[in-house]
Amino acid sequence: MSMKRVQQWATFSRFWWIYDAKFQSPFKSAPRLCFHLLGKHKPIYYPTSDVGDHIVVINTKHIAMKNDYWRTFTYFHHTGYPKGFSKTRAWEVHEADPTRIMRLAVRGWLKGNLDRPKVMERLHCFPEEDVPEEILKNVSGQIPQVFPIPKSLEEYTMEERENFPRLIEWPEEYVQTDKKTNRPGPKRERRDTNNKAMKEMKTFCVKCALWGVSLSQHLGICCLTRMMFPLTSNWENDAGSKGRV
Amino acid sequence: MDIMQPFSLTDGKNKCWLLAMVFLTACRFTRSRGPDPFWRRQMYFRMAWRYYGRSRNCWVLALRRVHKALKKATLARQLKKIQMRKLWGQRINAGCYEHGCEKDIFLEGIAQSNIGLNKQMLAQLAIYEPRTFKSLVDLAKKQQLEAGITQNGLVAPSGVITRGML
Repeated sequence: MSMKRVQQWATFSRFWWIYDAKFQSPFKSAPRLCFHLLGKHKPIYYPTSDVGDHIVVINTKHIAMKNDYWRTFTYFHHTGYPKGFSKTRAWEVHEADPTRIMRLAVRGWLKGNLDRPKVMERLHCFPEEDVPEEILKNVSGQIPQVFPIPKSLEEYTMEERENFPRLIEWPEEYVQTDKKTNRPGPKRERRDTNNKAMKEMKTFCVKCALWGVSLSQHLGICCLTRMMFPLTSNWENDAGSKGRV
Repeated sequence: MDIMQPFSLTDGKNKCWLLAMVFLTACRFTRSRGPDPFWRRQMYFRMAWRYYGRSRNCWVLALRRVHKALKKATLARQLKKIQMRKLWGQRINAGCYEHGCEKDIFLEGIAQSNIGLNKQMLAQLAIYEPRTFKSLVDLAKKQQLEAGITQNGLVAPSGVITRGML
């Protein structure tokens, strides 16, 4: 029988893909990476057969997160012993290891079976663009990014910014209201003027340029008393009395 | 049959004679213990021959294992159909992904073109007849584009002639 009766050009071989994680969400990229890691993009896919591909992920240090997820997104851990609970914010994890968030996101999308370590070994994450030659020479395809990379304001020239189409033009005297307080201008710190300690506190008035005026003395004179700042000596006293810096 | 009929069972050299019990009412039939206990157990042991450990030889364990296995086999008849359909769907999706088309677009275009291939056959074509599958994808793409479906990344294929073009 001829050996060329059935020709299978690289049907069962492992391909290498590259994925640029710059400005990409790790949580949105993870299902797309799993799709290729498990071999679901091949018609010969079968759940128990090992037909997945390798993926080289570059620029994992420059991934993006929405809202303030860098501050609020949390990774939990418990050692199993009493007081063994710990939680780490996303930015702390990212500072410690720039590839860890991407790897954890992909790991979370995979099934928790015995194949998972093997599949995760095929994911090669690099914080920057410098990839070893041995790995880069295998790459034969690119996985499309989940988001288009946004152009930052600094990249636009002044002409482009001025000629940018606008629906309306703000009047010069317009003051934007703060949505939370429903008051013009950004939210201000509220001061309790009836507090006795607050009244006696020595401050600096911006308008009168007076140092060391107490709030109660100055209230009737100046309309800008709200903008008075406490003096540094008072700050130190407060800090000393409360026992913290 | 209302008379007791003997039947013969040949076992090598010895010739055994057994009496088949015939009952006229269902009441008597339910009271009977069924076939001979030895052969009834053999019936179960025959299904338990490849089990591990004592489940293979111990009657109490083998009975439970066989009952459980028969239950699972009943369920699996439905599960197999579901899982196979899921697998065919995944394979068709992979085949479409290679040619830049979505599965739903492809299946809709195939159905609208009066091509009566089921999912099993389409999955087999995606594996063993990639060129045939590609031509089917092109056809589906063209049909969907002519129907006014505009999708991101859906490019008109070359070499597909339809009645609208003639």
